[in-house]
Amino acid sequence: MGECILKVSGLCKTFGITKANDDVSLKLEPGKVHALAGENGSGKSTLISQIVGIQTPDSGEMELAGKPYTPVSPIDAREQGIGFVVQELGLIDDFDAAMNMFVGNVGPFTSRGMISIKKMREAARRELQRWNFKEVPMHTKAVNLSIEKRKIIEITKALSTNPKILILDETTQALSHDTKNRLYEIIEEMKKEGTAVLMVTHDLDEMCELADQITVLRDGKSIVTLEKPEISVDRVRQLMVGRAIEGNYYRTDWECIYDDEVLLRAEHISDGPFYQDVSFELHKGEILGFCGLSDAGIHEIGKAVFALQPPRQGKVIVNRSGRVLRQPLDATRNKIAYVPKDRDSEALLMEASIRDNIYMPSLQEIEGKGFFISPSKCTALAEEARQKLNIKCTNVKQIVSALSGGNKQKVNLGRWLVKDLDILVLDCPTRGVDVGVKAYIYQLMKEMKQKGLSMILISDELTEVLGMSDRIAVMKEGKLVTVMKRSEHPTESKVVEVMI
Amino acid sequence: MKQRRLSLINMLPAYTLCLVVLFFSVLSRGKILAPNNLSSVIDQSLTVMVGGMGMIFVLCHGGIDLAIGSLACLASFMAAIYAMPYGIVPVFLAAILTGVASGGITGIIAARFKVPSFMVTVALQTGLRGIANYLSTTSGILLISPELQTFDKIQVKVPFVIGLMVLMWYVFEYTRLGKYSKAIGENELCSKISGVNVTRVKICDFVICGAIAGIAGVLMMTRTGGASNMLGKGFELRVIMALFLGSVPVVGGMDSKMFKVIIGALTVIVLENGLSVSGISGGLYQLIEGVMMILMCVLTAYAKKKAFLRDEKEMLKLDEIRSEN
Repeated sequence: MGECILKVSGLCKTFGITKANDDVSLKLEPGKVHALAGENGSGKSTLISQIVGIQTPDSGEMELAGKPYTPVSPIDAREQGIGFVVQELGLIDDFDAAMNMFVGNVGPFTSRGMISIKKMREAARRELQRWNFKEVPMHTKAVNLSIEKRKIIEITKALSTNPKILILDETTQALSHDTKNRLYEIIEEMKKEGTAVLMVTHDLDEMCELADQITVLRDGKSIVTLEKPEISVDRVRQLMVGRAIEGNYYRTDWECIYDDEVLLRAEHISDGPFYQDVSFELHKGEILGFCGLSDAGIHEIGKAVFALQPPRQGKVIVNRSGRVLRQPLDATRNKIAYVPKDRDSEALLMEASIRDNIYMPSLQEIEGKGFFISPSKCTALAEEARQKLNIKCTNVKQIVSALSGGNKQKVNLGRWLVKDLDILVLDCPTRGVDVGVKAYIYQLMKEMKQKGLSMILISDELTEVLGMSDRIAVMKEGKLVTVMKRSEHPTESKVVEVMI
Repeated sequence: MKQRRLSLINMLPAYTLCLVVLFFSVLSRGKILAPNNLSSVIDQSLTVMVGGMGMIFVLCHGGIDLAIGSLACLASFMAAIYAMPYGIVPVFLAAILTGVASGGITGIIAARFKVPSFMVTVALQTGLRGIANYLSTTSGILLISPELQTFDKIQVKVPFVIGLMVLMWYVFEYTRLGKYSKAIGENELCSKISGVNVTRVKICDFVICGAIAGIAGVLMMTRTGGASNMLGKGFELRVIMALFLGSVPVVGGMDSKMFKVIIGALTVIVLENGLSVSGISGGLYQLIEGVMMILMCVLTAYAKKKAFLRDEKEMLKLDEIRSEN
């Protein structure tokens, strides 16, 4: 056990009636990667918010490099050498990349009371290049940038202060494959320079791969800290949940099973810089997976199938009727549903109740004589979804934004699964969702497949696509490179080869 | 369920109305509670209520219609010129048709061509009144028919407005149109992805708002005794105030409820009436109205936040129960 750069002992924090952190202890060593594992609600974010100065502990102590550490604000924490990337989107929407990077720190760019934006942008570019990140457009407001680019700015901002401790709270899940790899390389560099890295991620494979130590939190308590030799995905999973997870995670079968009937055809679809000349077919009862790097165009294909962003050339055709899909209404009329990647801003009515969200797509079915929408039918539908998906809530009239990420996703999926659908397009359905709910979603997908539902699964997680799909469509820079069939022989490297 | 109904965001308008009534009863030394004053209050609030039950469709999807005053005026002219000799029903029909036409145009420009409804209706506010002015100069004096005069009685007006309210309530709370409109106000993109025909719903909302404005125009006309180009001046602002004082969220959404129209309309009129009976006039009067409106918008947002915090707390309680098992 090396010397300690950050020592947390007996930290307690209570919100209302909940003990978010109950006697939590943690030791960070320089040059090591320390991961925090735990389900949603286990206390990870609360712990981090206290280390970073957003909250003050009710009791307990923290020591930074041997001296008592009591940050009064995030800026105080930053000045003491803690760089961090928060879980939610931590940028100012109306500011561009450069302004966000240096907000609070504009001294070097000021002369005679005026800030030189040009100098700020140059400095921002240099910082991005220093860490070898992809180009981020400097003139665009943060709100108009993709989540990935926003995270890149936040990471660069945290790194630019040359921190002693780097904290990444669920940062990797918004990143594409190649950006993730870049981040892993940066973490390696940080380790060599003696920086301690504290990370939170729901990707257990990633966690076990990178971490030198893992501290598992459950229900607000720190259960155990695993050292490298003891680390395994199954062990971590077991400790997080407190019991052995039964059954298998992904599909256990290795056969490519689906009906012969083709439900949907994409014919030579193209949309400018996103994808060109892509053609594929979707069969009944098939799970067709799409994977690729950030610029591969997989997410745009999802939008094209649903006609949210219809292709400029080519057509998406429903085989049975021969209808061409030109707008989302066409898709919903043909029993196609779309689950967007950006759950919070596109998929759900955040300020509305669980009940409202669930019945909304099914109003046409609920409508009775004289256009009457029966409130009891709405509630019944909501209860049906709640039971089917085991949504954790005291009643269905609660506001969705109060739910945890996993439960929000259950509401999101639930409202579609109570409908009679032919095709479901899923874009990153298990993003930001803990292990227990993930397993649940995979189980659901297996059941729906049995019932004959066709799914298009778009995901940045290669293992997920490989584990669940019948056929895997690999895209690279907008072109559909190959479609591989499901097989139990090691395919990950084969796919990665084609993807890059 | 009982908890949600009695939550702050739904009870706020009632609290406000009570407070305002109490305040002005004291300030005016009971004058506002005199029977003929009360009947005047109810009479005036009827037109605002009618305007509100149409406007709420547009407001709840996140739009606004600033032209309803001018539209009411134009509709009353159209009704007076073309339908007056034919009876009460044709009069209303003519007004409604004018409203539908104007609402349809507004809806197409706002929903199809994506011009913000604020801009479209500000323009129409001037344009429609211009047409009404033109008609007033070419048509001479337009008095209402004797049949229409019978409409001016409270015994006729109140049941009429109640009947209309019941119909609008039904459409707003129990049909797809109402639900879709509220959903669009909450999150337009999400509604689109959920299969809502956003353009069509928005146009319907504007058409309803226009039709109702036409009806309001006829009501105003019966009160003044004839069509006049001063009809409806300031009507849209009164209606908007009524909705905000009734705690309808500024951006629309699921918390827009029809009962808030009734309470808000009463609140606005009691406020105006109270201020004038108490002898407050001019600038101070308008200042108070403005302050009240902002206060209510802030309180509504606060009430929404409280609902969220309450739900969050319930969720944490559930976590605790779960972890104890």
